[in-house]
Amino acid sequence: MNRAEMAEVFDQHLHNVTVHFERAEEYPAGQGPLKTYIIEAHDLNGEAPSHGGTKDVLGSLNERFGFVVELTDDPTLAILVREDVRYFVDYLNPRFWVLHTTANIKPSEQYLDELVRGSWNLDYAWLPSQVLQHLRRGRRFLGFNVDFDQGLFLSEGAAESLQEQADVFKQRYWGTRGEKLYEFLSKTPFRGVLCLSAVKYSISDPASGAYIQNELNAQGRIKATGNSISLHLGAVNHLVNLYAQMIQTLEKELSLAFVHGDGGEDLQGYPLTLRFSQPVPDFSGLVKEVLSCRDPVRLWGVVSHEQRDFVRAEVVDLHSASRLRLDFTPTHVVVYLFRGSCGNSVARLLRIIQEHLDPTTYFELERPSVFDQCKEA
Amino acid sequence: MCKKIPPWPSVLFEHGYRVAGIDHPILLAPASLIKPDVITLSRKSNCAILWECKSGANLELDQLDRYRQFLDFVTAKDVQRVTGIQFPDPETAHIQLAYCFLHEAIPRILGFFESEHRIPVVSLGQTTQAVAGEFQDVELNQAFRIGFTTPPVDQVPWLVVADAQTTDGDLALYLLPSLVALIVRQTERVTVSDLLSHTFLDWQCISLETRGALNDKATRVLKDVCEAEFKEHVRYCKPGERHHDATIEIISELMAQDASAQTRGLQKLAEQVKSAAQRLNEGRPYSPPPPASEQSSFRFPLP
Repeated sequence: MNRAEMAEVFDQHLHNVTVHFERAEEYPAGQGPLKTYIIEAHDLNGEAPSHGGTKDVLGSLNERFGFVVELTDDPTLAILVREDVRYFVDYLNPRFWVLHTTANIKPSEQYLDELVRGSWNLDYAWLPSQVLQHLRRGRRFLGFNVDFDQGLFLSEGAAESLQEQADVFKQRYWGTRGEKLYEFLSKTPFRGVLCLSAVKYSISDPASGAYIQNELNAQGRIKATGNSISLHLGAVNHLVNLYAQMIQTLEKELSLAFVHGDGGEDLQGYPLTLRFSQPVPDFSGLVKEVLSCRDPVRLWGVVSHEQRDFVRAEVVDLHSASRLRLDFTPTHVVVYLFRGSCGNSVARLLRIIQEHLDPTTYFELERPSVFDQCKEA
Repeated sequence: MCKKIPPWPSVLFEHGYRVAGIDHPILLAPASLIKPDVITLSRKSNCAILWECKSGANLELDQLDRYRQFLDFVTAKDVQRVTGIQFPDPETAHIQLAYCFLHEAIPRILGFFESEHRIPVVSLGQTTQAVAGEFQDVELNQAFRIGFTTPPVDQVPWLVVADAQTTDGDLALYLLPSLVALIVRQTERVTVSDLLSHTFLDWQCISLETRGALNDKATRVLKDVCEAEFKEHVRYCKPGERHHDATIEIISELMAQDASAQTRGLQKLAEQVKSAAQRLNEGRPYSPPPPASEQSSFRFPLP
């Protein structure tokens, strides 16, 4: 098996199936849409992995999760097998793996979730709402999901008035003219709850009649139907490169370290402020949940300094075992990314803030970056 | 102020000043020592400012006397030789001392600086500005005279967190999260000095003496916690032939458990860090929690 043969398998699969995305769970293996996932990975010693390091990581999955690893003729492509689910693992970029499967969505996501949740060195991609919006531009927009729920950051036993005021907004729109509807909603008070969780779009080549319909969600999963594996792989390549650029930008810009320079010890990096458009309804609920170790935030932390409307915490990201420091206030969170820590932690925190607090919160870096191009309308 | 972190003022950064050293002791005479909190150096103006930062309301008068002596006798070349900071041209370099106080303390201390124009005094508050003395760097002096708005001082970005005065409990609060990261990563062992340099971003700027003091204190704190709250997870190994530095071995099996047991174990570790920090700050020895059977010994009263 090599990449060309993998593409043939998927091409055949695309030609054999035509399904509705929303009914994907009903289809047995081999009959549902092609699914592609992005996984962010670290070597077992915590470093950004090499190809050799990735083989070690894959090799360790048998004992812990029951995955059998099959190597291929391509040293950057392997197959992971668990029961009747097969994932093609493309680790051409060993930091950002691309996993493809034709299996039924339910077991394929269950096994993958067990793998990612149980591994300190693996994580999903976390795409901000603005980046999902950016990725469908220039393509035929076929619909969107929005998913916003303020309940996560409410303390247990929060005042009834707070619980009643907590916003929940979940909506799916599949069909043409989605762009107009989204633009209309974004100019109304719904803007404050309009957190994109998936976009659906098509890409086509009218000359050959080739097309692909992709449904991309906020964790970097693409469900694909159509007749062109090349168009799908092109879209995946674009996504994984963009995401890698995002995470590497965060690490390059924010990683804090004193470096010896001409004028003494120069502090590289800076703390990043994630601002909310309005004060948090339940400040202690936010702090408690972020530091709870629980999904989806997956941060461990202890409070080192506390006063009215201000909490500072020493934090460990459980998906990369790396150190952070967070300052919480009702209007913003400041993230201190320690040297060598993982930018995906920051992307995950932002995504969760968008889903549960404020969809308009976004990265404000000091220098122009990939995030600006994603924000521009 | 030596770094551009909006919305915080960056006046020193904008005038070319960078952190050149933290907590460097400078010996003036056989029994007279000063230890400015931070030394900032501008290569552009060939000038170093030695900052004494006060968080309390009072001034230590004997310290002020030593700083006055310092200004009378010590040259930039002396500072370069003793601290290792490097002036572009030591022959023509300037050194200056500055005090920084919280705004509330200014009325109480200002009188002591009335006749001492060589030492600028900066008031740190909603508006940060120089309230006495002059900076030799003319442009910098102008900027501090005008003053600049400053967000609440207790929310200042926390980049420099440890010095020789850091309490045992606070040291535990900073170091133990780094140890938890290694437990999650299932690292085999770590030396105390590696743990310190990973935890404190400014480690390389701190003077060798303060690093030594912190290393000793960290070794004591870690030995204590390894044999107490963290004993299920780590083992303290004193310096030996293989490792010149004290070492912490990770023996935890927490990450081999299922996901929900891991979460519970990690939550417990967070509680243990808090209680260890509190215990160390109060100087109490560790007392193990009562066994589970005693903990659940509550019985409903018999009718």
